[in-house]
Amino acid sequence: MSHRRCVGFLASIVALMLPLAPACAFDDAKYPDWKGQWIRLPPTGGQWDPTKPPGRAQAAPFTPEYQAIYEAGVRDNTVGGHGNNATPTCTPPGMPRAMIVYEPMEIIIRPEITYIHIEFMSQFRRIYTDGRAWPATIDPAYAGYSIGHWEDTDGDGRFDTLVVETRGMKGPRTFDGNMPLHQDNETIVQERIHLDRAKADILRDDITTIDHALTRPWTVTRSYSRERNPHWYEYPCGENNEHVFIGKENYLRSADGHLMPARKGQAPPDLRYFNRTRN
Amino acid sequence: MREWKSIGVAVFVTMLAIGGAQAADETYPDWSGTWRGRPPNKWDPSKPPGLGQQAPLTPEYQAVLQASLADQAVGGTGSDPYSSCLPNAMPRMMTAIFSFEFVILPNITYILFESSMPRRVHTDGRDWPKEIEPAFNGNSIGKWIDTDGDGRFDLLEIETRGFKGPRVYDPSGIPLHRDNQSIIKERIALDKSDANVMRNEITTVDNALTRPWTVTKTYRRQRNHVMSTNDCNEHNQHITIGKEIYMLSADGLLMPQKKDQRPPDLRYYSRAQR
Repeated sequence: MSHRRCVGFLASIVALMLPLAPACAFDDAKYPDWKGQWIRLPPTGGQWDPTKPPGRAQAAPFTPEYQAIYEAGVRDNTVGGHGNNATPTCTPPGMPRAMIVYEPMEIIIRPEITYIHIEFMSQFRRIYTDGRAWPATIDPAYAGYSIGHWEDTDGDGRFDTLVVETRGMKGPRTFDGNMPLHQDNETIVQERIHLDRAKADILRDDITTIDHALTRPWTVTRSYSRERNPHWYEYPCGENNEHVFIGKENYLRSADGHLMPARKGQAPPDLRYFNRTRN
Repeated sequence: MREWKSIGVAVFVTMLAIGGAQAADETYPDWSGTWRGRPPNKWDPSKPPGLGQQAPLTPEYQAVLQASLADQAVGGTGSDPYSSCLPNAMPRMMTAIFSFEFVILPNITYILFESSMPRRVHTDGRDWPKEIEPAFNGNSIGKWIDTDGDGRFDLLEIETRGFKGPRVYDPSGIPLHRDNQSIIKERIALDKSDANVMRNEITTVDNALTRPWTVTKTYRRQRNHVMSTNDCNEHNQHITIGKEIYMLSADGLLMPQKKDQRPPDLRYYSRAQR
């Protein structure tokens, strides 16, 4: 009789599993549920360390050389310039700044790769989790080249933490709207991405940046809240960008479509290549 | 004894079910790797570019195309919005001048591009929403079909609606209608005789056309390509000010892109500065 119960029990398992089979493109149960749309926390404010106010209060551990570059950027900001910030030219923020997640983020987990797509300028990160080694040469990219591995930190048989290292960046890049990374682009970014232990709809990313502009590794934790019924939209940077860059100068495009200065006393662009007499 | 046999059968069947779950990738076609299209400079690959495409445009939109070609003939960019780094958008993005890849999940297929925003093709059986947020890529609903009955899907049918513009088919500036009411239908499948070749039969229904326009795009599989990002803005030498497009010279100065082009209006600068 007990054997019959066992047969019935196993048959029930079979019955339960069959409808699942087509839905499981891979062993979903092995990986965490990070589905949905992730929105930065706090939802406003663009500073790198969210626990500190923006600007100098971030207390970035800069070398003297890069502290001076940062200060020059602040001065340029005060007269209407963009300082060290390259995103007004629609240059992607790159790593690690991408993980501020100005616009929502989606994470697609596959056994061999995890994709992170951030709507802001449609940044894509591919995190290879197939056990590969670092390639001999990396084609530099703003988002860098990422290798990761999954950890089951609580031993419950399901991965809960994605450990990522990213190298091979190109620049210019900043941590936020002004704080520079080193021009040598030898940055290494290490991350531990995991759900908050108490709140399954909060994702944490512990991000450590190692960079020659810094006197020591700089660790911050970025957080994101989950929207389970997402509404996605596009963010093509070029669509409504009012910044016009000509050479090293930035100007603005007026509402009526004309060039105008971005700062007080700014000279107009050099028009030597136009035939002024004919025009 | 008989009961033990029954247990053994049940365990065997259970294992088969588990195996089935793990091998459910077999339900979907092997579209792994990355894909790239050719040729890059025209919408219908079987015809010459420009007027040779014989796009079935209404007279109004034929005139728009003629104006674009005329502007390009004197050095302009015509009506190609990509010169201002606006997205290639649908359907042009499916020319795939840079690589793209598929991520196939049961409810959604992502099409990820090196040079465009991703496409989300919903295959969860949803209906069209009452309101669609307009997008350059549009909004896509698809369904998988097993055309040869071998138990594995081999064809992805997609319908895409809900656009915004401006959009053109190719660099010559063959226009889509400004009302953005296009409906684009795709049938994507591997070539029956070559698994490294993919065909995408694309039919565009648009109010700038006198009839639906069908072309077939071909993509070739790349097994070992590392996807990168082609950022249009990074090396874009076009400067758009108002409705005029200028060029950036090698020494970083503004210059005309066509003969006798007027310089930008400097009305917001003082007379002394001009």
